[in-house]
Amino acid sequence: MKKIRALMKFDLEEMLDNRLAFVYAVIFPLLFFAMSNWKNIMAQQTDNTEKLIILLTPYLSYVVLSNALNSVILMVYGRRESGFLKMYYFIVERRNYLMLAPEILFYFITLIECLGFTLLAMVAFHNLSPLLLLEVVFIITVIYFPTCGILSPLLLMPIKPPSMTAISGGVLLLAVLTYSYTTSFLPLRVLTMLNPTILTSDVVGNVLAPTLAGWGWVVGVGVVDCVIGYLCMTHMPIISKSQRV
Amino acid sequence: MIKVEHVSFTYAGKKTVYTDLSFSTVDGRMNCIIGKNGVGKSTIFDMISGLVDPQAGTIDPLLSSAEIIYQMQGVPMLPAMTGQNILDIFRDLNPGTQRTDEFLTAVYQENVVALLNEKYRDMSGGERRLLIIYAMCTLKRALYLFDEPTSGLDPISARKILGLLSDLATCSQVIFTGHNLFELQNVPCHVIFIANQHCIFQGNYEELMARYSENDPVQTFVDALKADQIVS
Repeated sequence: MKKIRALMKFDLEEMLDNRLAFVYAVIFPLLFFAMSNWKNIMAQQTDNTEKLIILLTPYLSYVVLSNALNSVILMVYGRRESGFLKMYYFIVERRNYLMLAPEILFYFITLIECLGFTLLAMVAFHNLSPLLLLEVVFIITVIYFPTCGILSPLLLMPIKPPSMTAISGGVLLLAVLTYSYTTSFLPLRVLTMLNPTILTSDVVGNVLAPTLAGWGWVVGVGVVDCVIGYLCMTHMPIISKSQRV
Repeated sequence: MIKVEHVSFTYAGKKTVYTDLSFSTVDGRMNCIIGKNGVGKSTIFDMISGLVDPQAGTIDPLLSSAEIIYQMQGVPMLPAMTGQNILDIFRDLNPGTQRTDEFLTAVYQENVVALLNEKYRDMSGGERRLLIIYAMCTLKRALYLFDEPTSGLDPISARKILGLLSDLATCSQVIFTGHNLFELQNVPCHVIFIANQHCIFQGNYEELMARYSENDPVQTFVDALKADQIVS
C-alpha cells in the first residue's frame, strides 16, 4: 500500500501541474446540463431528491466514464507506449501498481468532481439535500471500479496510438448513446450491462427502488467487471506494442 | 555472472536479431555490450530482464523484477516532476533499500543538488540522464542494466556516469550498452562486442585493442565488424 500511495503522490504532482485537468471531465457535462435545464433553472423550479438524482445520472455516468477512460486507461496506455511502464516496472516491482495508483487517485478526483457537479445542481434546483450527496458518493463508489475494469481490455490490444484515440472516442460515444437502452432478452441484457452507463442507470434505479434481485444483478456485473480489470491489470504488457522504446 | 547461451530471437514477422548469441558477464567490474545501432543491444536487455523470452537458448540466472534496475535509452519521466520529486519517489518506492557511499554523496553534491528544484521538462538531456541514473544507483539491486547511459552526454558527465557504474559494479552486476570505445579507455570493464546476430568478441578493453587496431578505438570498431569472428 505504501508503494501505491507513493505512486499516487507522484501522479497527483503531475496533475497539479495541469490544474485544468481537474475540470476536463466535468466542464462539458456541466455546460450541457445547464443548457438542457436552462428553462427550469430560470423558472426557479424546485426538484425533489429523487427527481434530481435521475436528472443527474447520465451526467455523472459520463464523468465517471470519461475519467476512467481518459485519465486512467489512456494515461496508462500512453505511459506504456512512451516506455515509462517498462522502466518503472523494475522500480515499482509489480505491474498492477502502475495501473492501480492512477485508478485510485482518479476515484477520489471523480468523486470530488461529481460532488461538485451535484452541489451546483442542488443550488440550481433549490434542493440542498445531504442525502443526495451521500447517494452520489455511494453510486460513484459502486460504479467507478467496474467501469475501469470493463475498459481495461483496451490495454491488452496491440493498438497504435492514433487507432487508440479513435477507438476510445468510439467507446465513449457508444456508451453514452446507448445509456437508456433496455431489453428483456436476457443474453442481450447481460451484454448491455457491460456498458458502464447502463450499469450506472441500474445502480441508480436500485438506490431509488431497491430489490434483492436488482442488487444481485448489479453486484454480479460489477464483480465480473472488476475481475476482468484485475486480470488485465496483472497481465497487461508493459512493453510498447506499437514501437520500440 | 550471467550466462547467455545460444540465444536466438526474431521479432514477429520482422528481422532476425540473434541466431546464436553466447556470452557471459563477469563479476566485480562493469560489463559493456558494444555494437552498431540496431544490433539488438536493447533486445538482449529485454531478455536478461525477463521482459522478452528468447526463442531458443538460455539465460542463466533469470532474476526477478525486484532484483533488477533497468534504465532505458530515453529515460522517460513525468515532465512536471522536479529533481527532488524524482529522488523522493525512488526512495518511497524502495524503502529501506537505499545505497549510500562516498562516491554517490560526491555526485549528489556536485551534480544533483543543482537539479533538485528544476522540473524534468526544463532539464537538458544530459541532466535528465544523470539524475535518473544517480537515482537508480541509490537503489540496492543484484543487477543493473543501463541502456546507453552516456549517450548525448559531454565527456565530463559521461566520465561521471561511468564512475557511478564502476562504483556500483563492486557490489552488484552492472551491464551497460554503448557504441563509443573511446569512453572505455582506462575504465575497468569487460567488453562484449555483438555484430551480425552473435558475439564476436568478449574480453577486456586492452585485449580488444590489441586484437584489432591498437591505437584507434574507431578503427578497432570498424576492424572488429569486418573480421566478425567469434573469440571466447
